Amino acid sequence: MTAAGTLVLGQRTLKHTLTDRPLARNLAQSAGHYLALPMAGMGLMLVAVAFVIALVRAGLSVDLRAGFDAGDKAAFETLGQLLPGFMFLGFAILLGGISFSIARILGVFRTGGGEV
Amino acid sequence: MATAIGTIQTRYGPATVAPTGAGQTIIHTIANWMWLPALVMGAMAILAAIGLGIAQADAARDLGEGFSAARKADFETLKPLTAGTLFLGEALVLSGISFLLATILGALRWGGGEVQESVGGAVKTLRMPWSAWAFLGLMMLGVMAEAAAFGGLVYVATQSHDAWAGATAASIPASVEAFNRALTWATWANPLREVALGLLLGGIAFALYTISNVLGFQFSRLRELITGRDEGGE
Repeated sequence: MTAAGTLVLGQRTLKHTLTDRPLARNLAQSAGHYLALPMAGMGLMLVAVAFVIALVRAGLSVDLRAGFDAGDKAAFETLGQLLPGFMFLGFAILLGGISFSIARILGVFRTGGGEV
Repeated sequence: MATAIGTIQTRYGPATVAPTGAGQTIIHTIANWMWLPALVMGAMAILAAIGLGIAQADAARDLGEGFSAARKADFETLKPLTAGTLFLGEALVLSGISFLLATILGALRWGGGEVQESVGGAVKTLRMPWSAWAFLGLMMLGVMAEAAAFGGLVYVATQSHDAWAGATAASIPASVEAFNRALTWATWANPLREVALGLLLGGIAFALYTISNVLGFQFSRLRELITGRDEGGE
């Protein structure tokens, strides 16, 4: 049995669904359930890669000060473009992981509340 | 703190069974005390960074009016200090948020125990899961990395000052050695401050993941208490 209705809570009216069994997670919550950890892990890996790029770039900076070399300069400038790309892609994926974790919590409330 | 009378395996991880509720751990206690100071310090550091940014803009305007070694040195000194202070503030705010998430975990642990104890059943408490250890490790690593990056950027500021104090032209530093040192240090210190934020964000993701697991365990325990049916502890 499924029915839709409204629940008056204090001054607020909340739309709700009435069912004879607990609801399962919805699509966003299921995605959050499975993707929260992989996203956080991938984000951290990308940030780590960005830091390795920064260290390599610092090494090239030292080499360039010792004497100019076209290859070193080209690598230095190339890594300078790649570094923010990796860093901010990592940030975006980490924030995605946080969003999925929040969706996971909402899924636990939805299924757990229904089961209780 | 209650004495555990046994350990069981649940689908949310290992848990202890005790006659009374478990208290908060030292980590939760620290979090209860630290979340507000961390947030306030973070806000203060961000305000200080805004002040430094305004001073830097002022130095840039002075430099635009005419070159002088002191003006150039001021500008180049303020640049890394502004960035370092701003990111330190952001890291402290993220630490405050992390501490707040730890207080939520502490409240769930303590409150869950209280509910079970008041019903009169055995109190089951989830052991600290691996994701909580990951949260703790990433948060500490993030704060330490941010502190190191801030220290690095302060060094960049001192070297920049040494490089430009006494310069005679806008494009020729007085000390090439100091200028080179500042450049090399800035090459890794600037990304490190961003890495620190990434570590703190990763910690927050793991904290939220832990909260979802603990909530699942608490719902499972509530069902057990209501139905009287064991949901998987052996």
